[in-house]
Amino acid sequence: MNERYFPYLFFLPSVVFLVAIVIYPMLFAFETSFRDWLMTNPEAGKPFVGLENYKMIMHDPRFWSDLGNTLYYTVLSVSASFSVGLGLALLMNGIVRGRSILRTIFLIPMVMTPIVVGFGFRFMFNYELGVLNYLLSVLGLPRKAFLGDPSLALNSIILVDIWQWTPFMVLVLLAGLESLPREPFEAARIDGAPEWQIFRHITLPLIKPVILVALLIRTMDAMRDFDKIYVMTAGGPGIASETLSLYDWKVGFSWWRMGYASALGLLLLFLVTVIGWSYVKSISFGEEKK
Amino acid sequence: MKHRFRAGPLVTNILKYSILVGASFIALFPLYWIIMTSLKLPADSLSMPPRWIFEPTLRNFRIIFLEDPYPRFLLNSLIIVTSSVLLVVLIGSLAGYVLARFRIPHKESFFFFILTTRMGPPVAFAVPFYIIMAGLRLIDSYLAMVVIYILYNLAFVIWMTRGFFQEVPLDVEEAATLDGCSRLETFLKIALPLATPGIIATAVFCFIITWNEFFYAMVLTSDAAKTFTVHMPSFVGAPRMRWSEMSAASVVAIIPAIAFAIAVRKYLVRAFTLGTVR
Repeated sequence: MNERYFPYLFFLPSVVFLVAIVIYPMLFAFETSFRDWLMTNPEAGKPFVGLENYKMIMHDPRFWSDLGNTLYYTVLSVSASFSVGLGLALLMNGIVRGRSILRTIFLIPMVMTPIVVGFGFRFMFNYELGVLNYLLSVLGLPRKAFLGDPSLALNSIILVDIWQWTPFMVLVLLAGLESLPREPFEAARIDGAPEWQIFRHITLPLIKPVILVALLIRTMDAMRDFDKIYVMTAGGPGIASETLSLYDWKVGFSWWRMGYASALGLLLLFLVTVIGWSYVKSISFGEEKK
Repeated sequence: MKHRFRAGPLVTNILKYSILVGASFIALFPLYWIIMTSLKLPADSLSMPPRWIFEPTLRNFRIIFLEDPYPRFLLNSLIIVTSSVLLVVLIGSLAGYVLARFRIPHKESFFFFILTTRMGPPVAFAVPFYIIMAGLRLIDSYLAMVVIYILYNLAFVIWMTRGFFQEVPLDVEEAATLDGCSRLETFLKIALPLATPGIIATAVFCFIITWNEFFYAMVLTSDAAKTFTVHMPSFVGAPRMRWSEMSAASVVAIIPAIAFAIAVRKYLVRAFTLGTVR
């Protein structure tokens, strides 16, 4: 084998795959997004309509409502799991015994099949038979229709997302805390700096890169979440808990309007990409820190 | 002198541990509840107030394995996930090695492209992918599922293995080259064996997230290649909610995921952060 071609040969299969199953479908979706295409009605064909689908999206109240839900879901879930996760990570970093068993316990929620988590919570959220409503009634609180009440449904799903992903924050932030050098902390303690100041001026700046990575990954995951929402409410009641992923899925795979679905999908991809790109720019993600 | 109240170390420790134990309890409660429900007769699982103590039964497991097509869909999942993981690790680790060892122009743009395929909303890929697969008459086939799951994991594998190959000391590889090894021999005899633990961990993580995958499978399969996640909703559809059977099916589904995750927990943070936090 000619040594010069070695890297290309190794790289080739991946490039072929990425072109065939990422770039080609994306170009295909781009082309489709300029067409009016009802897949269940082949006679109507798929006439070219220019930017019509994108214009319709801009005037689609459901798109704006779902965009609001998506951002609300993302911001609330990410910020809550981050705050709780940071607190727990700091606590774990301050104890000597039991860290490894806690670490094992916390990895369980994040690897549980999302569909199983969704159904499990749907059962526990049940108005009459759910254990959570039972616990509320034991505490003397009124029962709640966690998933049936339009003003509660999205918040209940967010609660489940926080439950599933706070452990991710704990484990990642704890790994960050454990990798910090000891010297600055010892020096500050000798100087008699209060713990809060140490946290604010030493710990936080030192683990900032880890925090940003954790926030990036959680943000992108939360924005495209589908499984749990689908299983618990399918976007209901009405469209109270519908996110853009759910809507796009309904347009594409219930209504079979492929042009509109492609346009929606590309907009969603664009949105996620812009947010991801701004994060990457701010942390030069992917570069080795020596 | 200001007098500040300082809790003794014992009190602080008790406080810390009680919060952490409380958090563990919350983290584990749903799993506990699913396992308990899977061992209850339907009458017990639907009783209010809930039965905390009951006579355990294996009835639900017997039903899902003997009277339900669930095992067939578990087998579908196993076949599709295993073959796609083996293929994607093979393809991706070659690219990961090249990225780790050779100068590639526009590496950062490439990384961002990788991130997009990893983090992009599945629904954006599913629409064109469905149309293409329908055109090829591959809807509800193993082949379509294996291919989409390669897409699902390829970026992750390239990125993770790149990191593991970078950790192979460069001078060991250079020494091998000086001893007359070709590039290929250096890769096969030096780099690959040293990176193997990391590659195996990467494969295990691909297995976990692909095993758990629902969206693509729901869109692209209906029966012949249907995976277990797509079958799950049928337990709670009409005519009645079969929560006990659903819970038994859930327990069977999550055991492999949790067991695998515990086996490779050393690499867990690294995998979930695309190699950026170790």
